[in-house]
Amino acid sequence: MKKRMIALLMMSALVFGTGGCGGTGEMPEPASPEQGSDSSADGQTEADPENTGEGETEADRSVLSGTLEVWSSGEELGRFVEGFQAAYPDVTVNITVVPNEDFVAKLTPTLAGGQGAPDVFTGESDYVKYLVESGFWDDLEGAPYHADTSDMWEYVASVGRDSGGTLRALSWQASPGSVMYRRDMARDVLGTDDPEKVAEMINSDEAMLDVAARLKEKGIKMFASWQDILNMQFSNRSNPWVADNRLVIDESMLSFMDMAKTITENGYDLGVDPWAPEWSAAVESDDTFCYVLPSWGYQFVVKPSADTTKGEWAMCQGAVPYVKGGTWVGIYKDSPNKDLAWAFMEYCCLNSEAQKAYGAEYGEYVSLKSADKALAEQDGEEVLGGQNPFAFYNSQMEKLPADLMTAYDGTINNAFLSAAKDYATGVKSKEEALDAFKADVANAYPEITVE
Amino acid sequence: MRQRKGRRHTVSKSRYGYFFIAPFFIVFAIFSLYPILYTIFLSFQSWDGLGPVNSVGVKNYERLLKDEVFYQSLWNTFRMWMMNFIPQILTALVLSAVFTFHRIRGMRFFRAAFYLPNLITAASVGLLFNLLFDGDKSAMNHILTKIGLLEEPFAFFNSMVFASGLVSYIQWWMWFGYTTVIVMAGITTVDSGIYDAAMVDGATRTQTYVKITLPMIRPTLIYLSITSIIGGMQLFDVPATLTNSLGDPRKSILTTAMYLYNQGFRNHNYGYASTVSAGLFVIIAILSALCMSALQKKEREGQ
Amino acid sequence: MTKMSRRFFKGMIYAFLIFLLMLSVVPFYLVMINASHSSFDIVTKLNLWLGDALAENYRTMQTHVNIWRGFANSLLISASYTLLTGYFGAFVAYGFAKFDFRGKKMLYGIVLASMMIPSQVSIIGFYQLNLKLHLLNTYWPFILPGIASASTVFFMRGIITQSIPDSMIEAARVEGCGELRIFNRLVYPCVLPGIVTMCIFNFVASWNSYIGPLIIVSDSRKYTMPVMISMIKGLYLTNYGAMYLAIAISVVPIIIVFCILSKYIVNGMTAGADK
Repeated sequence: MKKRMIALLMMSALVFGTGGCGGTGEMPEPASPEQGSDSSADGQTEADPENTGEGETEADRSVLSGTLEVWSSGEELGRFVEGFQAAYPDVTVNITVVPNEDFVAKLTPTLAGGQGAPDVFTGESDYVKYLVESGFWDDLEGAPYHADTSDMWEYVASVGRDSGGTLRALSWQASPGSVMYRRDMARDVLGTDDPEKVAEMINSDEAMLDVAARLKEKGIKMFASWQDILNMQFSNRSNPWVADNRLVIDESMLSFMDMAKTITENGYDLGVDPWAPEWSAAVESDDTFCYVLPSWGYQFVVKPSADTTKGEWAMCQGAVPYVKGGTWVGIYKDSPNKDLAWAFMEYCCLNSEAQKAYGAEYGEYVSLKSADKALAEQDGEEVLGGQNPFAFYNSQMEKLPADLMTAYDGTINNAFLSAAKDYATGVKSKEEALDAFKADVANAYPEITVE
Repeated sequence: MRQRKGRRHTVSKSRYGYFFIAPFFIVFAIFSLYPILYTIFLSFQSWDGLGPVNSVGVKNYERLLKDEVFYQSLWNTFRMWMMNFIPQILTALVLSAVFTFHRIRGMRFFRAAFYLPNLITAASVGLLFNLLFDGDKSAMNHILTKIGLLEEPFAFFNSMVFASGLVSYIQWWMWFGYTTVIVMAGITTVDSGIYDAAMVDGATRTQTYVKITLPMIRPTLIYLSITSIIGGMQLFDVPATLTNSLGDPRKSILTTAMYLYNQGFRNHNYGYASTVSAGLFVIIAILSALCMSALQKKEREGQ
Repeated sequence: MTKMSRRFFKGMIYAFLIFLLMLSVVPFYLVMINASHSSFDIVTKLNLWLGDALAENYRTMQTHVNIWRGFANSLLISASYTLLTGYFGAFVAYGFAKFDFRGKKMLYGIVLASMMIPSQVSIIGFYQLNLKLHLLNTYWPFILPGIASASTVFFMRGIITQSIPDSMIEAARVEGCGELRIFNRLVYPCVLPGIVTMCIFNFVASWNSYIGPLIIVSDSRKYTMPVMISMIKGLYLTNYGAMYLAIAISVVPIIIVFCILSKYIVNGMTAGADK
């Protein structure tokens, strides 16, 4: 009886299977209409073609209508949608969040395939330069966008420019860094918890190590992980990783390796990788002094976990002001909805009012100077004992060095961290570690000259 | 013995043979052929994924032959496969013998429970074990120091031997239940009359199992070995999520599949990644052929 | 003495089984337990008992994804795929096991070789193919390949060779049965335990498959479970609790499928190997 039932199921599977098989050639799925096929992009946008056409001819933006497809590697961009749709009631924004880890794996076949690409997509700092140079993002200073970036922090806009100076991407955020430290421990060991004075005490690599030694006497580890310091050291470089197709190992990177070794040998940190359980737990510890992380580190690490340590955190500058990470966004070159795309991008990246509202609600540092300056006037953060992070970040953004990002950074940084770790833990000598690092870079990018 | 007889006497209604195998080849042609051909095409190109595709002839293959990381990754993958497959097949054979010859209370329950680890996505398993072992205060360090097995916390993920062993352990853990189920399914098809005959002849259970059952389920064992080597040589998720996806510490758990993924989607060398793919395919084919001929040779000798 | 030692032996067996049981269940149990803890608890403590963050995790999870939708999507794909593998796996295997025809060795070689192709890079070609077939954003690319499941063919070929004597088929032919009918009425029911076994594994494999659906499906309403889980995981630890909850939810149906289908394996087993 049961056997017969299964056999019956299988038979229906047969019918169903061959039916599907015969239909593969021309069967259009209901949800992937083919009306976009003439406009070269996008098999899946659900834009009503009539409405889109209307939008293209209308000069008045408030009557824009249609559907915009956006791919994002995070959820932040989605937070703008509500406000945007209040301003443009006839535009539907479809945000597809693609798992961050595999964003490139999904994006590449789509762009290479020439169809099915979204109107707008993001790029994280690890690979944003790769996308910027690829030419798949439209020139935002050309027609029909004419972006005006005068209010945007220079650093943010400069990352969005390709090697020829063309503006390909913008961002709604900026990610300046800080040393986030514990006020209670600073009072005990350093005699003050005032950010200005603490900053003074840690204003160079040597000074940081001196403070680490003082903390150690009291049984406190200065850093959660030495690897975090690399975030800051990147802004301490005078050369990018790759210049004129040549690998450059900046002096500051070599001294960073020594610093990593000193920290490891003296036990100035927890000896774990960032994002390891123990590293995350250090927010609530009684023996870890600081994290060296950009603005997202405050957002995602310290702020959500600080409970008993609420009010005992503060931000100050370390050896140098720095910026690390971030997500940029650009418009697909063959998008059929460029006017909608631009309206959305302009709203997120260049609309000061929108950014002010966003920054106030989510506490995230934004990319427009005017918005950040307004936000700096507001009340401070409870977790930070009343310190206003916007005011602090603004001071850092003013002092930033030039942008040294390259298309190779993601891979090279990881290879460098692996090498530095082997040296720090004593598995390899400095030469061996550097040789392994160079071999890794040469293997990843055969076109780069490595000496 | 039986299957040899079966093979020789296969019914020769040949056109029906084509009829029965047709569905496979039709669907294969539709869904698999193009991606394979495209990958072969790419393996002769230089392509960053977004820019133009440039032909480079056999340069990628020349590079592959000299690529130490490729060889290292092959060795890693093979080593981790061996270290999990041997214990896995032994566990499965012992378990299925136990289940076949002893009345075990809750046998079904045990067997289902052993299969549980296979249900969680491999990527999540890697993450779970990372959380258990990473750091001085990790759960495992906590437990091991408390019960006195360790004097002081051990940096598990700085040890190449440990990381590689852990991958093998996880693979064993995920798959021994599956292997047991497959072996038992094979045993099911053996005619039970044979056991009675053997028992009457005075053979012990162990003798019966080794001398009669195992040879009879050889096709099942061949199936297990071949699929295991094919799957094992393409190992990806567990080692990729256990540490930083670069195979740290010091590339000790960098598998070939991870290497080609990184060459493609991280370093944007899609041409070379395709070449590594092709290289891996050839290696798997050779290993499978060796494995197959070894097992079939034994089969002939055994008679 | 012999009774004592036999009892001791039996005790050893149970000890061994219980040891393996612990190994299998504990990490699994941890996943379930973690589903009810906050992310901070998960990364900082070894949780051994239920926590109080289940509702919170559920809310977090639902703000990121509609998990039940992903559940339904995955179920549709996996069930269809599994049914196809179950029927056609045996169908094709029967062709290879019981017929002689020219090129058989080579064709079977292709079946085996098709398993050996690393999937990571060929996904680019797979995307272009489905673009041309207009199958992007549909589930066909994950369902139809069930007809060409090489591992099922491989396994079922062994089972059919082992358990179906040629005489049985000949007898049916003599009685005038058609070839398709012989397969459906005679061979298929005989090898059902083997098919069910394969179906369980195929269901699990399909249920957990990630990279294909990630790249072919761009409409987030059509996302499958594993893609959603990966989405929740994201970059930051704030979502661990929700992620474990999603994993826990994703595991439940496979356990149910396993429990239902494993009866069939056991029935087959006792029929064959009962002493």
